[in-house]
Amino acid sequence: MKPSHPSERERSPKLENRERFSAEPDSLLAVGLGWVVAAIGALVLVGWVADLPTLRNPVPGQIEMKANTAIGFLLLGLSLGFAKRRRLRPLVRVLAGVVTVLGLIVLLQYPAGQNWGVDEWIIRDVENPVGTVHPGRMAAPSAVNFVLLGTALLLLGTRRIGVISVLALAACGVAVVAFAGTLYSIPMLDAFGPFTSMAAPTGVTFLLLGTGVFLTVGARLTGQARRYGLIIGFVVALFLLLLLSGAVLRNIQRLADSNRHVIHTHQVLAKFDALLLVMQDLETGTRGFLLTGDEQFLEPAGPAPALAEEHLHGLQRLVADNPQQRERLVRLEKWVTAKLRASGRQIELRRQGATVTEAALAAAREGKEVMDALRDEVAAAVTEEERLLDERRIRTDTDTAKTLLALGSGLVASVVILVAVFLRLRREIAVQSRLTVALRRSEESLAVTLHSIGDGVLATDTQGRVTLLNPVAEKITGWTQAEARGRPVAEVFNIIHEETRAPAPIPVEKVLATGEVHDLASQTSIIARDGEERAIADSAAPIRDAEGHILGVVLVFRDVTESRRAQAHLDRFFDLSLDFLCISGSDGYFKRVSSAVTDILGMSIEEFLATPYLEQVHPDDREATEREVERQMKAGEKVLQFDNRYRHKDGTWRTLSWRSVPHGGFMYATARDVTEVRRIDQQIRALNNVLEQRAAQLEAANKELEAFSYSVSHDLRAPLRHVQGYVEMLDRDAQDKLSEKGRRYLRTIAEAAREMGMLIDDLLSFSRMGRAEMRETEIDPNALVDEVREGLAPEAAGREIRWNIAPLPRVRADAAMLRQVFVNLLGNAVKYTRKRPVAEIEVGSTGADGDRIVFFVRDNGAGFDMKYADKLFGVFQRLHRADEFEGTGIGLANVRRIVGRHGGRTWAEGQLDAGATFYFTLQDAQAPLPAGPISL
Amino acid sequence: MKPKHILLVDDSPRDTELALEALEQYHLANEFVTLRDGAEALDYLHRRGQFAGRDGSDPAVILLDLKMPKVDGLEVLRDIKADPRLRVIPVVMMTSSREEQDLVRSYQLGVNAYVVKPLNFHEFIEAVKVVGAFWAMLNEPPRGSQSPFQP
Repeated sequence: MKPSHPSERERSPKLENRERFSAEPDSLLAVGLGWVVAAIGALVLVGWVADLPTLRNPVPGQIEMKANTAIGFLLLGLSLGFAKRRRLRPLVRVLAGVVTVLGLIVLLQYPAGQNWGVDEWIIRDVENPVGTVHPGRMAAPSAVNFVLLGTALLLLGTRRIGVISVLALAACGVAVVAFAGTLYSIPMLDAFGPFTSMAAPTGVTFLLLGTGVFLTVGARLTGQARRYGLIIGFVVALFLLLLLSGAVLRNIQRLADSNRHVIHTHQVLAKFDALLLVMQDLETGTRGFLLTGDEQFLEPAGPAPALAEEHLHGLQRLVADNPQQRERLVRLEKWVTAKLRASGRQIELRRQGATVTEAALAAAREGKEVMDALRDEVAAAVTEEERLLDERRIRTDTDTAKTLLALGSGLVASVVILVAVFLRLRREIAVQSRLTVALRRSEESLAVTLHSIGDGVLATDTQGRVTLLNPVAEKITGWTQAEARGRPVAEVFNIIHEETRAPAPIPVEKVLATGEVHDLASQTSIIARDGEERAIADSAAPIRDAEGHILGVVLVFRDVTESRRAQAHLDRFFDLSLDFLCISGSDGYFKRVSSAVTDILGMSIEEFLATPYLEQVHPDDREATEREVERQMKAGEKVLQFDNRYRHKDGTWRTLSWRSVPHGGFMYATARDVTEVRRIDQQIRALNNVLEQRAAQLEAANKELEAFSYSVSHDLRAPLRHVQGYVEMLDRDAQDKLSEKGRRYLRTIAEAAREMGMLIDDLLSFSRMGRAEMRETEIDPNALVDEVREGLAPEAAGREIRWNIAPLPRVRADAAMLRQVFVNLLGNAVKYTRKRPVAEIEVGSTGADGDRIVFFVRDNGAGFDMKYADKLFGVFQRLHRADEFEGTGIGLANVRRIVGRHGGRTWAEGQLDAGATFYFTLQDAQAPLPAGPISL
Repeated sequence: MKPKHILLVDDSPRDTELALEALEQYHLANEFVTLRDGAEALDYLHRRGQFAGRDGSDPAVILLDLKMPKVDGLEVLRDIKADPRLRVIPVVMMTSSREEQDLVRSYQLGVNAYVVKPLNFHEFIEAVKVVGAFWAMLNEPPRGSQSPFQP
């Protein structure tokens, strides 16, 4: 046996507290009983050592408690008395062990039929002890009980409280049975051979001891065992009381019996006395008549035969149960008959004349003999009856004493047991009422909880019938709790598969069968009583009591119509997305990808998920991908655009463009196949490079051109100016010396130089128009036209010109350039109408050419041949001779260039000698701006 | 008191001759100093090189040709306007064409007037009036006084 059970020290303080609290009264009683038993043992032992029979046995003649039994009680009593002192536990075990061994040895002696000297080892038994087979040997049930209780006390302090309780209760049972046997003097073990009977006090003491041992652990029993303990205690007490009542009843019966016997005996004695008296009366009467012959003497003797007969009959009735007395009565009857006959003969003799003497002698002889015999018989009968009476009286006394003893001890035992039971019950009731309060509170709290819970709750019993519906469940099922209660769950909880519409299995039966929690299959809908259908999610769990027995099933479910619909939308969105959607974890695998992966990379979703994504990335892109993922996961930054190449199942590489947001350790990313886009991008970039080169070349050319024209404007003009200057000086200086011809030459030189200067100026201005930076603003052409018209006043001086200028819409243009357009067009109009007596010049706008406004300038001047319309806008192209209309042929070229730079176009209509119309288009100020500036 | 002189800087001897000829007819009292390029002009104005220790005051007006070898008119103009002493002298830029870029750059550098060659007298006088150097050219006028010839 282990010295101490580990669990004993490891028990939690809370448990210990509760145990101490509940075990205290029981333990006190147990320890008290231990001390009482030890005291009884000690007392009896003193009775043996000091040879005081009263101490050994309160009732003389009864079976005495053996000395070894007393030792056993002393040791076990002490063991129990110390049971609750943890430090003395070794002592408790040693004492219990010794007694167990003692009991075992005694037990072994019985079947072995031997005597190993244990019985009288310490103290010799008395001579001829009552109810004893082997001197000094304790009763077999006592030995059994010592083994049982010794073992129980040995186990004390371990967790085997069940074993201890059973042992203690078994000992009590043995004690009760043995006690009953002793009480009713039933030789129960005789069938097995000679056994020593158990003394009544021994039985009672065992009961006390057993109760005590049981109480040490009784409080630690739980639930059922505790109830059984109580019931057994109660039954034992009841049985004891019944036994005692039976014994008392029996004894009372015996006492009544004894009384009847005494009365009977007295009746018998009285009858015998009466018989004797009758016979004596007969004798006396007969004798008097014989002596005197006086018939008067015969008077009392007259009825004697009849009386004798009557008494004899009475006696025969009274002693009918006693054969000895019956024989004796037969003999007595003979004598009585003989006496009666003798008396009659003597009386006859005297009447017939015999002498007194003869008659007296005969009577005396005969009478004495008969009477003596008669007296002897009666005396013997009386003695016999008196002996019987004594015997009965002693037996009654013994019975009474025994009954009293049994009554006393039994009462003590039952009182102890009842007190124990009462204490136990009182504790139970206290605990129970506490539990009831706690239960009510928990039930109230449960009811409130169920009522306020957001999920539907439906409970069934083990038959699958509804026992409870909370308000949410009532709403979802359409049943009230009152209506639903007791109905089969399938009737109330009508669920189907969302798509197949087939009834869905309710997990109640499965839960009842397996005792496990079951979830409802997904896509389950419930049809409410009113036919309304709702998607639900649900789980079913067994309801168990404290012992783990299943009491029913609870279904918890919720309306997930909305969330399932939302989920369906999300799933559909995820699956239908043309972009590739995916969620990846930090372990390098995608967790979920949309089916677009198949379209983009040719792989099934499963194939794609099975490989770490980095392995699917182009080796050259892996480092950048890792860096990007790292940045995202560590810094939590979004990826707005990141390209990498993934392997297509056919071995090609597809360029994916990613956008991704990290959240909670996952990356939520979208990718788009941009392989084509990127390829085209690359082509565009290449083309752009070429274009940029071209543009650079163009710019360089432009620069050169600019430098050229700059140089032209300075260096080409300088000598021209010098020619002019010196011609002027020559003219001044040598006017007188030159001939008319010479002066004309000089004028021609000056004129030619001036013309060349104009040509250079126009050329430069045309060149500038092509290069000058444009600043488009919203312009009111009306103001511009007015301004230009005023500027033309010198040319128009002295002429009749009818201006017909319509209101013009606002346009977007470069103000200076547009001004130049009007200068040129209006200037031309004025110039070419010079030969008209009345010049008519019209400026207006007509409708639209796309999003552009068409302007026109019309005159009634010289006009032109439409054959040459194309040449009109060419540089230095002229349709008139210089002597008709002066000009350099640059004006309309400038107009076309300016309008062209504004994105518009120019054209002209005319007829020789019938005027001309010049058209140009410009951007409407209201129209939206073009995407980019247009440059030539 | 002798009126201040006028500085004419032009690399073209023809232009110089034409200009002087044009102005000579009107018998201006001012002395003309003609220089052939910008480097000479700077030396003259700063009294260094060949002009170190030259006599006389600063010119009343400077007529600068824009396009000259070595140091062109614009550079000379920048130098003058950067010098606290010289910046008060009115500068008239002369050019053979009205190139917009030349005009813009000249005015950015603080030119006082602009004339197109060949220089004739009327243009010259107009320009001189514009720069407010007319009196400076003729004489040191009393501050705030009105010109007797002002129309």
